[in-house]
Parts: sequence; structure tokens; C-alpha cells
Amino acid sequence: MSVVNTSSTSDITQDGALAGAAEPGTTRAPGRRPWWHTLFRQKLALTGASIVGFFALVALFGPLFAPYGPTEQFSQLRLTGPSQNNPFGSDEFGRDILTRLLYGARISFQVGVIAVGISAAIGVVLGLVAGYFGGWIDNIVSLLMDVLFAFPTILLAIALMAMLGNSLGNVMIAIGLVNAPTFMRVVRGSVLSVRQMTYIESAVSVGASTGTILRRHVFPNITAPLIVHASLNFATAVLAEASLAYLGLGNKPPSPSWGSMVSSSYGFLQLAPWAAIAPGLAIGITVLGFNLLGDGLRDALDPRLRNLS
Amino acid sequence: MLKYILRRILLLIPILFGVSLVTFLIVRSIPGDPVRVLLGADARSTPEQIANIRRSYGLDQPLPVQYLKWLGHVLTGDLGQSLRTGRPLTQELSMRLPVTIQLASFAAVLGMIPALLFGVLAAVKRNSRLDWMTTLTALAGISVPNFFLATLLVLLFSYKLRWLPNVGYKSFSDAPLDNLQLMILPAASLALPFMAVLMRFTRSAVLEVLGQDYVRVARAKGVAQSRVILRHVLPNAGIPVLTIAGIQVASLLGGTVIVEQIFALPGVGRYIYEAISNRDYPVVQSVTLVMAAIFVLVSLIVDVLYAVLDPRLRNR
Repeated sequence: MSVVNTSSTSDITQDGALAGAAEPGTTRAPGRRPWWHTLFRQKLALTGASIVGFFALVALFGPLFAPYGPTEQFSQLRLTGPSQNNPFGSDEFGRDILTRLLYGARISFQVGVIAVGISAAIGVVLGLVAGYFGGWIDNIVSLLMDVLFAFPTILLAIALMAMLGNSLGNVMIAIGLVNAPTFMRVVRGSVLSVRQMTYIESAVSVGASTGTILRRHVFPNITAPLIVHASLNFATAVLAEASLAYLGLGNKPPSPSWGSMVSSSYGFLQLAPWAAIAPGLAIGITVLGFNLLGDGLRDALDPRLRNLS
Repeated sequence: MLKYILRRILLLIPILFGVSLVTFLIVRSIPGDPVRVLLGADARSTPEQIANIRRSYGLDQPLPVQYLKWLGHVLTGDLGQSLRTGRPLTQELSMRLPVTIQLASFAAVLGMIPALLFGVLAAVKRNSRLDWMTTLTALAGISVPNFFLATLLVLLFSYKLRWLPNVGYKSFSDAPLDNLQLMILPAASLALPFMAVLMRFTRSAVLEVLGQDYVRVARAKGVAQSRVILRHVLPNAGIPVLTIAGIQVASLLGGTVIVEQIFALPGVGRYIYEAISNRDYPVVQSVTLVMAAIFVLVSLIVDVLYAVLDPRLRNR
């Protein structure tokens, strides 16, 4: 078995070589997975990466290929089922669902990128500071994050939307703020372990400034968990955007956000199930893609977790 | 351990204080005049009338005073009253909280049983077909938004099969069977993501314990597989699983906001959503605080249970 798996990728080589060196000839060495399991995991990660890539392409270029306009109405086509001209059918205003899905991808993608960016920026700065300095700074930052954690996230996002006003930009801000504490935790935890390293001690002893240490020595060493978390958080952000849109927050009705497409077609569910199923599946598949990619990245980047998944 | 529990309880105070402050500040920065909302569409009231109402609700005082007053009232068990209906919130909550609690606990039970069962089985029978199915189900579960799941369930069970009603509420004490029928779809919509997270976590927790030396020793000395699992693996894997379950149960509360909206359940989640849309300050403020308090209390209980159950922590 190990002969087969050593050849495919570097990841497996490392794994197989280690296990093989430790216990040659044993049938089920703990910590070693059969090669087909690795392949399956990788296949999942690959599927995730493909979904994410496809989604990004659709978000960027999809509208160019849209057969109609996102709010173009064809009154004779109200709630018609999938057909050659409307592959996913049409909605209650006779709008083409495929077209709206293509435009909706752009909304999800934008919100995802910017919301994750906001969360990451806040979380990284606070996490670095709290983890590196410790003491009362850590206590205050951690308390602040614990306070934010105490709210059910969707509730906090709704309240923030009410405060900021109903617009797409504010959806990004609200989701970004709500998810920032999770980034802070991930970063803080990683910084705590990096801080113990000898290279930090030596950087301090040669008189490097704190800013330099954080930038040049701490941050580059916490990017792996950060990337994993960002990918998983993208999934959360897309879900949150869809949920807010479902509740009518952020995207006013003609907007082709996937969440609001599901909610506006709920009333016609019996007549035209496709109008709700198509955008719902779009959300589910996109989120699944980011989750798979995040899991795959975690497996690849975090060797400690490699044997657990 | 008593010291540990006390410290956890003490930590609650600054958190809840912070929660109240954040809630207050958010609610007060929501644009729109609540008095206008209160007066309704025909705002023919004179400025004096408006000022009177403002005064009677204490809205004319400076913000810090309003905050401290509110906090004082909340601490003495007075949550205030709704601007729209004028009903005291404690009364509203006593009607609505049971709905939400029933929904969340129903969902928790519905999700927990398969999560633990299949999580353990998947880890024990690692790489089997069952393990794959578990992994795939869990991945699907964390990826499907609860409102879409609710939509699919309604489509299947209410419209196609016509087995279950898709909207409405009857209390359990009035009509237990109707209540369960009405609750099962909302609970299932909430339960799937919960189940998915817990299942994944159970699986990896059990896998981690299976790799421990003491499990290998137990196996090496010939302990039967079932006994290894029951005596050595489950007690050790159970503790972290419990923590995650607790956090997830608390997060079910957040899900109720959307699910109650879809199924028109008169619970707290729907109430607070409506209150936000209506600018009903006192309701949003106090109910958010209550929800956050429940959330924090559940995690406290879980942490304490953790300490009680884990012998390594028990003697501290």
C-alpha cells in the first residue's frame, strides 16, 4: 500500500514515509491512512477548490453570459418551469432564474470577500496584539470578544443592520464585524504558541522593534491557520448574507441575491418549486465548496490534524 | 473545583455587563424615532404630545441615565414594556420563551441522537462506507442554510406528501399532538446544521482517543472491542463533545430567529425580529439581553459540567 501512495503527491510522500519508517511491515499503523482514503480526502478538497473556482468565475464573468437582464420581466413567462430558453425556469415576475443566479453570484462573492476581509483585518490586529502582549491588553480584548460571542451571530447581524441601515455595503460591514471574534481567537491562539519560539526570543534579544517582530516573525508563522479559517469563514459569510437577504435585509426585492430569491419564491413553492430550489442549491453548493476547500487546506497545512480527519 | 466554578460565574458579570452595554448602544443608534413609530402612520400629534410620550418613556433623558435606569430595572426583574402594545415584557416573554425553548430543545434532541450515534460509529469503522456517508452528510448539513432546508421540508412533507402542516402554532398543553406535528419541521430545519457540526466533532474526538496509548494498551492486553469503546473511548471523547454540544445548543437560539419567521411560530426569535423592524426599543434591548444571558448561561452550565465530569479537573 505504501508503495502506491508514495508516488502521488508530496503530502502523501511525507505521510507515508514517516509512517513507513516508524513501523515497517505493520498492517495498520496508527496514524497512517490507506492511500484511497487520502485520495478521497484530496478528491473532496479538489471538488471544493473546483466549486470555489467556478463560483469565482461566475461571479466575475457570469453576467456577461446571462441571456437576459436580472430584472427583465416577461409577463407571459410567469412561473414557467425549466425549458430551453429558461434552463432553471422563471419566477413570479417572469424573470429568468438562471440570469438572476449569475448576477446573484456576484453579490455573494462580493459580500464574502469584503466581509471576510473586514473580519480578518480586525481579528488579526486584535489577535496579534492580545496574543503577543498578553496581560491586561489580552484581558480587555478577550473580554470584548467574549461579549460579542455572547450574542447569537445572526441576531447581532440583524441588529447591526438595523443600526447601519439597509444596504449591501452595510451587510458586508455587519457580517465582517460579527465574525471578527472568531478570527481573533484563531490568531491569538496561534500567536500564543509562536511567541514561545526561540526565534522570537532571539529577535527580541537582537533588539528588533515590536512592530518588526509582529510583522516579520509572528505574522508569517500564523498564516496557515489564518488561511484555513478564512476559507471556512467565507462559507459562514456567504450563509450569513443569504440569511440576511432571506429576511429582507441588505438586498431590496428586485435584487437577485440568492437568499432573497429563495424567500420571495416561498409563497409560490407549490406552483413553482424550481424558483426556490435553484437559488437554494446555489447557496448550498457554494458554501459546501468553501467548507471542502477549508477542510482540505487544514489537512494540508496543519500536520497535527492530518490524522484526525 | 468550587473555586473554578465560582471564577466562571464571576466572569459572567463583566460579560453580561458588556452585552447590556453593546445592546443598548446598538439599539440607541438605530435611526428612526420610536415615538413616531409608536404614534403610527397618522402623525398628526402636536409636538407637545410627542414630548409627553418621550418623557413618559424616559426617552428625553441623557443616554447614560437611560442606560443606568434600564440596567437597574432589569436587575430588579423589570424588563420594561413594549412601545407598541404597552404590554410588560416579562409577560410577553413568559408566553414566547416556552415556544423557543421547546423548539430549540426539540431540535437539540433530534440532532444529538444521530450525531452521537453516527459520529462514534464512523470513527470506529473509519474509512468504511458508513464513515463516508457520515462525512458527506455532515458536510451537506453545515452547508445548507436552515431557511432552504425548511423550504425543502415544507415542499416535501406539507405540499407533496401532505403529512405535516407548514405553518401555525398550538401550545403543547392545549393540543400535544398538534403541537408536535407543527413543531417537527421547524425543529428538523434547526437540527440538521447542529447535527452536522456535532457529528463531525464526535467523529474526530473519538478518533483522537482511539489513537491514544491507553487504548492501544487496552487492546494489547486483550480487552474486547466493545469494552474498549464503552469503557475507555467514550468517557474520554465524551467530555469535549459535551462542550461543543453546549455551544451548539446555545447557537440554536440564533437559528430560531429565521426558523420562527418561516413557520410563523410565536417565539422569542420572531418577536425580536419584528421588534427590530418596528424600532420597538425596549423589546429589542431587553430581549437581546435575555437571549444573550441564556446563551452565556448555557455555556457556563456546560463548563461546569465539564469540570464535574472530568476527573482531572474535579480535584482542582
